Amino acid sequence: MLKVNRVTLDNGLNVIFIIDRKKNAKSAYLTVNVGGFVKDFIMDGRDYKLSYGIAHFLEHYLIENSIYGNSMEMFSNDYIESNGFTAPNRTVFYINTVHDFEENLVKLLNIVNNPKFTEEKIDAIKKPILREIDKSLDRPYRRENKYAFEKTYKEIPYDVTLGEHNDILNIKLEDIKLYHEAFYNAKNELLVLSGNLDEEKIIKLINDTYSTFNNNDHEVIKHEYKEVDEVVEKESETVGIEDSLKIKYKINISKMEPKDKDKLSYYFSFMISSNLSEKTKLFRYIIENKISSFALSPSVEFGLSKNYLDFTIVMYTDKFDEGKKLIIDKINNLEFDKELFSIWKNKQIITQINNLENFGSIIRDYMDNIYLYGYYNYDDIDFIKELDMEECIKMFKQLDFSNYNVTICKKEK
Amino acid sequence: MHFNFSNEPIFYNIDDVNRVIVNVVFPVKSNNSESVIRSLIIRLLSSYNKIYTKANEFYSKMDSLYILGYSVNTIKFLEVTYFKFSLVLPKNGLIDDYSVMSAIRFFYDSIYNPVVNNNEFDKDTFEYEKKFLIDKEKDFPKSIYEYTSDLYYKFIDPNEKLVLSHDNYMNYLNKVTSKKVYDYYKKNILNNNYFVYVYGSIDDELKNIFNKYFNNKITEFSLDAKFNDYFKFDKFIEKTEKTKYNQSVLYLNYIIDNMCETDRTYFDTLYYILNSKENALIYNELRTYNNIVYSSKVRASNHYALFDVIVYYNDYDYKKIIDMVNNTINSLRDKNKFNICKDRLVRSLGFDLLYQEDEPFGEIIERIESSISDEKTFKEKIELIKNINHEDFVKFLDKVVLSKTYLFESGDKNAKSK
Repeated sequence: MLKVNRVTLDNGLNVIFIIDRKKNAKSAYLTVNVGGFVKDFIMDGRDYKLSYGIAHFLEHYLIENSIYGNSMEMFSNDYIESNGFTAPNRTVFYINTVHDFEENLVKLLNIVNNPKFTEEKIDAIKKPILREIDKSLDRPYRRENKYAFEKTYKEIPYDVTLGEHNDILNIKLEDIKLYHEAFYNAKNELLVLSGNLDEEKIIKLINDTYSTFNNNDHEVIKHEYKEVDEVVEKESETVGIEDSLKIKYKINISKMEPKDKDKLSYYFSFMISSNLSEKTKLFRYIIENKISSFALSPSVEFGLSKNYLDFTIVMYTDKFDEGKKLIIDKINNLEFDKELFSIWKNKQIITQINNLENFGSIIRDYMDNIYLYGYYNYDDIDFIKELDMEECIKMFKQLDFSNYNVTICKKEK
Repeated sequence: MHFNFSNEPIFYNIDDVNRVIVNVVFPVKSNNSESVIRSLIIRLLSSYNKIYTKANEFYSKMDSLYILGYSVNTIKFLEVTYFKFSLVLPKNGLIDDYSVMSAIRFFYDSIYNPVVNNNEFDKDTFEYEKKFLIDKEKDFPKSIYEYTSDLYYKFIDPNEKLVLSHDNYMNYLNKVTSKKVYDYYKKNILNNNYFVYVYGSIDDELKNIFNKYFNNKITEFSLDAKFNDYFKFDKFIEKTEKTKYNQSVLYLNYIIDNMCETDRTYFDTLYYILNSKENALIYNELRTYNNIVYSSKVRASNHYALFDVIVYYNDYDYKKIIDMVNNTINSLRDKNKFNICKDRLVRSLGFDLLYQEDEPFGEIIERIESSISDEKTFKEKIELIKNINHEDFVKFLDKVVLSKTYLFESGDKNAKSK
């Protein structure tokens, strides 16, 4: 059976062990608590303004120009899966292996925390990032999504993790050195380790490895977007790939406790299932009245800001007024059925029991809870058992659904 | 090729898991022009049955029965298509008000009792599903990959042996009738034989109930179908087109001229060496060593004796990229290099076996996959690849010919794409 332990080392590093004695594979996920949203910050009282894309660029730089050379190539030569990714609020570096875990864990820690900053590779590292930006620009629906987002949020920027071409071209060696110095230190990192591990031995190894790194111990304040509660525009219209209607609710959750935010994410899944999904009478009405051929596409996003939750519902239709009325009426008159809740909860319990067979899902759960809700735990069976319909109804009553943007997208001729 | 099957269920009990998975698979002989019919059958058997005739009722019932997953999909190898019905259930006894009998009955009804009137699928349901597929397709192309891939396939495969083009898919879709789809269903599912895998947490109650519905009579059956249809090299052709996309995409189509059955191991080995993580010769050449691309991929189809290299790039001479890819393939003529790559591949497959052991269903899924295709298991692959002789591999490389290239060049604001 899996065993989960969390320890904070003397240097401030949080380490989570997910122990499974039966597994051959071992993994390490090192997360730095900074991501694509952060380009401006105050360090030791001084203001710094860098370019969008800096966090992602640094991730590439550390991987491709480590003290071991290109670390992906090095790991790959040794049959170890490795990579990194940058999200708006975190940067993650990881390895998965079935051999020599400890030796390679030390390498991973060095790659992230002990870089060699040299000019020679800067331009070479920019090239694939420019191609990655091109790839992102070719994504379908990007233009329409950006438009609706910018009509909803005044300060929070849309999809800036990669930056634009000019942002990347302007990044200099001293920028990434500064960024690394500000954010890459034990106190600002989380290490999640999984597999058949000897905890005591590994803690010693981690302590010894970190003791060789420069101690970047600065007082750093990240720039926070001062978003306002109101959406930028209540109604907006654009052109795009197909006729669609997008309603974005901007919901202030700043007063919610971290654990409640995690619970709310489950309650949203129940609310969507019982009010907006293909299981509902609303879906049947939409189909039978030929308002759309497709089910609604609802999505909930907690990662934009710690204060706001984004709840978006998309309907592919050209009957904009009718679609808008249906969705808004439904959200204003949500239904919660006790029997459905009981079934839904039992299914959540079964699903979670199955998920817990696999430490990959606990890693994802843990990291999402920390970085999306600020909740330092994973969703064990006891957590799911606590979910309660009365609490669900109460939480939804407290959410303000009056603040939304409606974007009508008409098919480009 | 002659395929033998038996409908005697294979039960594979796994300790320490909390779910059970049922696969009921119908082997069918069919061709690409019937892909529209197959898509409609998948839709019609995924969301309705004769008791729950509306999708919302059907899905709600699945919830109340604690069905964790139900899906219908198809796996196609040339003339052989498998309709695979999958059901995921919780371990019996995990939840109080769960009835394995009701869940299996629902599954059975969803396969054998669809919404049918007068010997055809219910007209309203059928028309809705048809419109759903038309609406889903009509705004095609949507992504750079879908857009360029459709044009690329038309270019290398004008007879549509590999896939049906978007245009023809729409033509067939507009013409297809409920009667025609029902006739296909009747022949290939309702009156067809099937084989079955049940794996996970299995108890006697599940076995008995399952046998009641799915094992009335043990039957051996067979299917004769074409499994390989190798492309032949004619002459090298290249094509270029401007697009509005931000990236340029270059497709390189390689054919194994005069491929024979014994070339399969060489073909698979070449594909792994070019594409798989432990060697990734194409990616390493284009990204790691020459820094031209963000990503590239290799797609292989051994049933047709061809593979494609797809390169997303910008601001580079595409002819040089073609040279690099050609040189990378030909670099395996060097015995030392080939042996290094081969040893790495064998070692990596050995590690993959350890990863597979960690997955509770890893081995059984591999067994199912190899039973419906001619894919080898990890262990078999390791043995075959270990024994490859470089001289024979070079003879195989002699047959590898660059047949066509298709360049989609970025940056034309007036182009039709996107």
